Amino acid sequence: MIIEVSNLVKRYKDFLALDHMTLAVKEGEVFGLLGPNGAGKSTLVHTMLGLTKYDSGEIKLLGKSIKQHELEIKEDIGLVPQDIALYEELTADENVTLFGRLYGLKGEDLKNGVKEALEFVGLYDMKDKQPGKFSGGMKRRLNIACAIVHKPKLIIMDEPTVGIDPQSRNYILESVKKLNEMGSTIIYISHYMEEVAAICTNIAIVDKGRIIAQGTKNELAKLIINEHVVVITMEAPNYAVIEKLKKLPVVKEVTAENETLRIVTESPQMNEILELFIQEGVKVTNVATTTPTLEDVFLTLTGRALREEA
Amino acid sequence: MVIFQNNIKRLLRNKGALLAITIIPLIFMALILASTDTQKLKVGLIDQDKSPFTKQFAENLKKKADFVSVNEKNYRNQLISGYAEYVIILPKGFTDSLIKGKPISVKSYQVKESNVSAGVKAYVDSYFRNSELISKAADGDSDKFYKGMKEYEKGNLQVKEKSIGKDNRQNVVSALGFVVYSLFLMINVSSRLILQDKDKKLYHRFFTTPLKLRSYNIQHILSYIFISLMQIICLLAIMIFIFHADLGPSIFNVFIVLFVFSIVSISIGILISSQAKNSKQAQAIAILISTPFAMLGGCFWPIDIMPDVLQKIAEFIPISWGLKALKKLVYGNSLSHVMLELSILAGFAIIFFLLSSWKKEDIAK
Repeated sequence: MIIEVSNLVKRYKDFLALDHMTLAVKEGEVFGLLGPNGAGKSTLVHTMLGLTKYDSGEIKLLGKSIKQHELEIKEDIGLVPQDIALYEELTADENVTLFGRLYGLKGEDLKNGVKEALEFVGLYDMKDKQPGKFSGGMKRRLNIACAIVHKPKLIIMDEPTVGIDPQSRNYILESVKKLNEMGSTIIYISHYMEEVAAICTNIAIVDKGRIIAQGTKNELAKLIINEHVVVITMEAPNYAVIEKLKKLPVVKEVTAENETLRIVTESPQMNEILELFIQEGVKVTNVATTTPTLEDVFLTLTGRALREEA
Repeated sequence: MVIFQNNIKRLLRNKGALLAITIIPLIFMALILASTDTQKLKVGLIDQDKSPFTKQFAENLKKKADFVSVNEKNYRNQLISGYAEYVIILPKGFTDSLIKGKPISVKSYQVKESNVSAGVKAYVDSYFRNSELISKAADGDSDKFYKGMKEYEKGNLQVKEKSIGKDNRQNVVSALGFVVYSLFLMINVSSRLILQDKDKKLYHRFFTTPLKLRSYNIQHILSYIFISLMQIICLLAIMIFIFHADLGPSIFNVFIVLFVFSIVSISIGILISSQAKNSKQAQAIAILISTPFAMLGGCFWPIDIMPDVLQKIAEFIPISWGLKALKKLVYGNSLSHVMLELSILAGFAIIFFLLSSWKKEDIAK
């Protein structure tokens, strides 16, 4: 196991940020971490990297205890933070070099590491430019280069695709796959369910400081195998009907996106649901059934939609 | 020393900060020092004695100052209006009293003290003191007295000319005021760099690498010390080699005082950094503190000309202690004479560093 977290507890006064959290990640995985705001994802990452002290439990990274071998462990970890953390007054090359040196690289190793990292994110031609002149996507890629310059065994990526164009997003997702193929284990934290579903081999859903579900995409989908998803399109958005739908015993969750409702039910029968629309006089233009997605799993398990916090 | 080197690089790229901490104080310093040799005091002499001795004295004085015509009735107004800056009155019977060995009194008036007037005053005092010594040796003999005066003037004029020409110590102290101001402006840098790292989320990111918080803080402080040392060396070198400023018996002692003062400036910057929420707030505090403190501390004018209340306040400002020490050194005192000032400066630095480390740091926040 490259990450072994057991019974981790972290309190901020009365707030229990990590509630006896236990997590195990195998070497070579692309591990997805999903959870709403305040679920404990950031606290988990901070405690794993020694940035925040924890109250009890144990953290082992790369087979070593973080308490005893913090600096040694950090040499083999790269964090891609959610915020773009770069010096705008330094060039792309200088930014990556700075982190290379902080990770202990010197001489030829440093030079080669910087070159390879910049080539990897497709910014080698821009190495002498300052990131102040870069697009959002380019800054995100440089943010990644700074975290991989030392070829870490474990890379933690915290929302690496927030606020960028689809082209840059695809580039980054492909990069994650490549980094994994090159031997790094990846922890991928994201709100974008489709990203997690596309690249992660294993996924953990975090809520209220605990891991509430963990497994592959298919394993997680099986958790709600007895549930069904109905997608109903109305002629116009109607919020009154949503509230009434939520009160129906067969309905577990309802999410709305304009005039389209996504309803998770316990029964394949749609009579009750459709009757409600007729009673309320709401015109329905389309009805379809679908299989549960990771989003539905998340919604059912946490009662919250991920995108609300993005 | 990655953070240390990075800070130096960041500062060298920050042209605004460089301009503020070096070029602007340098311009003021240069203006003061460049004016040293061109200024001459406007002196008026009221000679009521009109003896050969007083006439010769007037001739000698003309070589030291711009002579202006004043009279007994309106010399006060002439002083106030600035027509004359220094007025000397030699009373009737002055030479007689001098030759006979009786006590002599010279009345002199001035509106404000300056380095130039101090130089002329020193010359006048010295001239009459030596005249008294010659009259004692002449033992009341007028011929012997005038002969002795003639001999004295030959040597005295040469020696004194040189001495007054170089007596720009007040100007040197004023110029050092701007060196101190320049060092104090370092609070603008030392208060902001760590907070800029925090604003840019780099601070948090740094500690995901094998970098210890203590090492990060020490490297920041060392980089500020290095920059301050460069400031001191450059500004002193300009004073010495370009303006030929006389910094007193030991340049090294002046360097020591400036160095200790720079540590105090850094400690103030670190204290601001530890208390401010972000770099913008730190910048606002630093701007709010730097120039008023420099004014109160005496960087731009002598503390003595300020009201008593402000002089009392100045005692709580490290700048005033730094300048006191520098003035003593420039006027010929040794390092042992400025130990009190150095100890107070060191005390300020220790207090500010302790206050800044009081707050516990949570990197993840």
